[in-house]
Amino acid sequence: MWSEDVQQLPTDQLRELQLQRLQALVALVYDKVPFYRDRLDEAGLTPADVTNLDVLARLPLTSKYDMREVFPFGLFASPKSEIVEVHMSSGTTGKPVVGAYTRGDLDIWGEVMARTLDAGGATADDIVQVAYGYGLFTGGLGGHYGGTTLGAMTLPMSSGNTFRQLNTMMDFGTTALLCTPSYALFIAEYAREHDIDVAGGPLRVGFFGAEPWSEEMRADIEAKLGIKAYDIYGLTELIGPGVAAECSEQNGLHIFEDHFYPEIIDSETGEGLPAGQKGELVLTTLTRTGTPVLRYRTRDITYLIDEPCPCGRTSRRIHRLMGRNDDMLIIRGVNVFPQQVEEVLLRVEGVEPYYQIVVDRDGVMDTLEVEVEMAETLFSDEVKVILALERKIEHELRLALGIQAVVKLVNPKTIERSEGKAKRIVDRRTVTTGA
Amino acid sequence: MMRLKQVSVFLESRKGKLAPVLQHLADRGVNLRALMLAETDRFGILRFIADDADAALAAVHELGNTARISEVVGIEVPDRPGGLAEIMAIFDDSEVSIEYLYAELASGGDSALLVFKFDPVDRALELLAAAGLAQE
Repeated sequence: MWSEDVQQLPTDQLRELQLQRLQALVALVYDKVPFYRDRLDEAGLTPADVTNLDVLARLPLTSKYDMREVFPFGLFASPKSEIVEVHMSSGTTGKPVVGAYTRGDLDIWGEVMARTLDAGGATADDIVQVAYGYGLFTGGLGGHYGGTTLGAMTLPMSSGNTFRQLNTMMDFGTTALLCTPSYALFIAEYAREHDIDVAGGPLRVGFFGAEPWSEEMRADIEAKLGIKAYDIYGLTELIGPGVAAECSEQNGLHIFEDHFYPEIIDSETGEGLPAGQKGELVLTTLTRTGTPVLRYRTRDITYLIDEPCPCGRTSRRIHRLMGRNDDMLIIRGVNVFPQQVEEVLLRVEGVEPYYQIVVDRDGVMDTLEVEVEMAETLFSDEVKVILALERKIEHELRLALGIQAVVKLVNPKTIERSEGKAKRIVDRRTVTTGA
Repeated sequence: MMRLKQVSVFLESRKGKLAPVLQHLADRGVNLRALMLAETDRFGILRFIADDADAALAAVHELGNTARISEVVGIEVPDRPGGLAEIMAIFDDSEVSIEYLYAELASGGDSALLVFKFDPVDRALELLAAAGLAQE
């Protein structure tokens, strides 16, 4: 087992390690990040108050909204000269959230992603194909650092160009695949249509995350690609992928607790919930120094599993994600908030803020359609004028969301309104997340 | 030739969106003299000339469809070979473009009314007048 000593640390020693690291973290952010110092001051707490892990529940929670308020450098706990890499996630509106990595943070990222791959049985002998997008999105480089830290031959394919993905997979004898679960299914379909026998080839394991999926989808992917498919979890605000991962038991995701401290809270009251009770996952980085995060509200719904696992890891697990408590959509692995769509529409002159987002699945790929009401002021008797309007909105959406959307113009007042408020989202995808 | 008020109606690209509009116009006693349907794979635009454009627009609005009135030009074109080509020749080498054109539904005599959408319309009218077509 990768880093066996720490992954199998007896619970009491693990808690002691976590406390030491939490104390160091609070001292660091109190000293270096005014954003956190102000909040700790408001709560009447200083680093000296962190005498046990229960104190964590009294520390202030941090939301994505809070984080974007201090864009771009407001969460840095290290001087800019020590930052070597930056990633970003989409915000609900306006500015994104920035994650900055020191050299040490990148080492941590490589370590936890190496553990992720190791948990699914990958070793230095594997050939790892990373088909997550490379760029500001954390999937690509996170997977990459995991592969190289593990010592595996790592193919930085990024996402898309499925024909080339498959050719490379067959030519190099890829044994481990990293991508979104929907892209894994897309690859499987594409291979079948082109008579490429992936299931009969060397590919044997896949690590899939960045979007909700189900046990049914796992069974489908495993059958079609002839592999074992593992669920992995992470988020840009914390580090990217590498926060938690399934082991060979495929029964909950082990949180790499020496780096990330998990809590489950009641979304309404903020009260902590015991293991086994469903609520919102809250995570604290214990070791990062670039942009450490105190009690981040993930909005992801799950519960903690605090039972010994046959694999020998002593960390707690989270159940496969069971939904979200905000209106964020995950489309083709990309986070999309309805407010982003609204902002784009309001920028286009004459467009009314009545819209509906229709998410569907065409085969295995998510589709995004934005229905916009055709106002009299936008309407023209000429086709080219309306087509130009559609293209303009689609272009703006593409820039804002990072994914392709199809604009469909509809008659006024046809978008359903409930209690005077437009119903914004129709999600026709049928992903059951085990809730 | 004559300036005409055309009613343009936005149609969502879905089956069964055109018939109710035509039925409602019939119910309101609107008589259509000329019409044309422009379609794309995303939406359609119904354009028509009615006896009373304002009444027709009001009727369409009753249905909740986006619609507007735009200015077009009707030209009586002689019912013989080359009749339309002669009209088109007026705009050769001019800055006027013809966005679309269509014909009336039924003509009684030896000429047919054609509906033109010109851009710019004022310049088109000048050229037509210079070519000897009187404005009615």
